[in-house]
Amino acid sequence: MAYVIKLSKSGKNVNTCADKDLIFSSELDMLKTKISSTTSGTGDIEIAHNLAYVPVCFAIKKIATDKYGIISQQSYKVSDTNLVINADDSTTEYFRYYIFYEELNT
Amino acid sequence: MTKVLKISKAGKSITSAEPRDFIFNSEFPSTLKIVKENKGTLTISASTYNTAEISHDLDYVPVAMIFVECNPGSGKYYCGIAKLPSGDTDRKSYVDSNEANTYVTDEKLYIRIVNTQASEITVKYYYYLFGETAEY
Repeated sequence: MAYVIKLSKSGKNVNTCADKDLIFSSELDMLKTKISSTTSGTGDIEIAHNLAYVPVCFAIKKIATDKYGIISQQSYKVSDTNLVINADDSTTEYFRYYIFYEELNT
Repeated sequence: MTKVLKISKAGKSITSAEPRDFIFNSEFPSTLKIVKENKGTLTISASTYNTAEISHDLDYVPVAMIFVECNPGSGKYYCGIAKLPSGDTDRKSYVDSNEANTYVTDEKLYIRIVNTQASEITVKYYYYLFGETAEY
């Protein structure tokens, strides 16, 4: 017999509610973080992730003190070796980035 | 002794060293917890722009994600700053990618949407703010 762990949102019946009303379910995969860090530089900033596959990731740009971009506002690309953030060619830019263990296209 | 909570995927060993074999593993935590999520609409006059200003009451600059139905009624929601080509049928509006207009601070999320149409439109958007700081 398979055991399942579920936590529902307040007011929702854990036995009958839709998946979107669950806070956690052992039947649903979650993004697991490999790296949450910051970097800075000019041009293409390469960050090796040491995974042998293409992972889910994103980067956020620091626009100014206490002012930041949103997910998908910054241009970046990812391969099975590196996350590459496209910074300005001449002015140093600052970023926070996340790389997850989950693989694209699986 | 360090205590660890793990839930492996069906058919995978709980002693596996591969992070992808787990639904949950406290050694590889999921840091993206949603602390605020909501939806809204923004009415934009013909051939101009409008900005949604969303107060969040968090004490930090959160990691933020948005989805916008650029073509009202299409049911297609574009993530972040969608680069819609000028001839794309969904380009009834688009999110302004200019950093001066679309961004998040420790007080508000700002989403500027540009109306490409010669008539007023109302655009739906969804946003998610996470329990993680974007701060450098």
